[in-house]
Amino acid sequence: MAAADLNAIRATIEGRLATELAGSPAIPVVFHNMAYEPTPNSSWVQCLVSFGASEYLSQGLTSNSQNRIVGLVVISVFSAKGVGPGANFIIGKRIRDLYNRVIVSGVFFDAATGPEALLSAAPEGYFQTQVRVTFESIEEL
Amino acid sequence: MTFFRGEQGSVLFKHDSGDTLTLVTAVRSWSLSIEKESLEVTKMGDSFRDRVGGLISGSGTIEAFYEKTAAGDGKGDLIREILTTPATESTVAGAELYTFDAGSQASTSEKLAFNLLITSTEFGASVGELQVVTFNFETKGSIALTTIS
Repeated sequence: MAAADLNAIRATIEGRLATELAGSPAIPVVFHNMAYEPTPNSSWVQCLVSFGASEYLSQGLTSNSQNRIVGLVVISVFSAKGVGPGANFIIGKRIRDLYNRVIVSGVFFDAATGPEALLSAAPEGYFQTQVRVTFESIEEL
Repeated sequence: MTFFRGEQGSVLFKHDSGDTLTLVTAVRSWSLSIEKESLEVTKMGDSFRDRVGGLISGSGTIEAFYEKTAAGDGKGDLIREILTTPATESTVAGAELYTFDAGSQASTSEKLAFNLLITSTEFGASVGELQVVTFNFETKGSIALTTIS
């Protein structure tokens, strides 16, 4: 057993989305700390993975012990403004189905929230919805 | 004075007296309640009640996260212990509950050691939570609080 590799967990989560959105129809996806210049009136996706507070699960110190690692994936779907939500929600469904109650590589995804329409998009000029999924992983030391 | 936190504890278990105590993995908590009977020995003419201690017994709980296990390892044996049928129960299970020095059970660790009878085991699965198994036990024979020297 070894300490959890948070970067591997991040890669698992992001890789799943990158693979899905590389399929037809392909949608550009951008992650934390990546430069991206969106094409006006196009659809694109932003995925932000964050880790939260870990907690004790079991007895034991630095060996023969377990921690719970929790996190949140916030996925924003941007689409053309003024043409209704349909195209955006189609992408949102693809993303929601990707994580909803899925267990992959030791990462347990909870029931997904959204797609939830936001009143004001950031960046402006798009219709934005968000799919949010909390997840947990068990660290075995 | 040194204080300890719960995560410093650990549990070792064996199915029979001839077996080796083995670490039970992913234990969330343990508790042991030791009771002594109180026998009244007040005599006529006494103004205050007097008592002496009687028999000592213990009971407690071990709570662990469920894992797929095999007989022969600590948790595997503990999970299966309740299924030892009374008619053929010739084995004597034993446990050690460590208050600190978790995992290593090294010199200066302090432990409560005793034989026990598992009296109930509760399996549970709740949506959104890790599955937990709870073991209730009663001690058999003496209970020792010792420091490994």
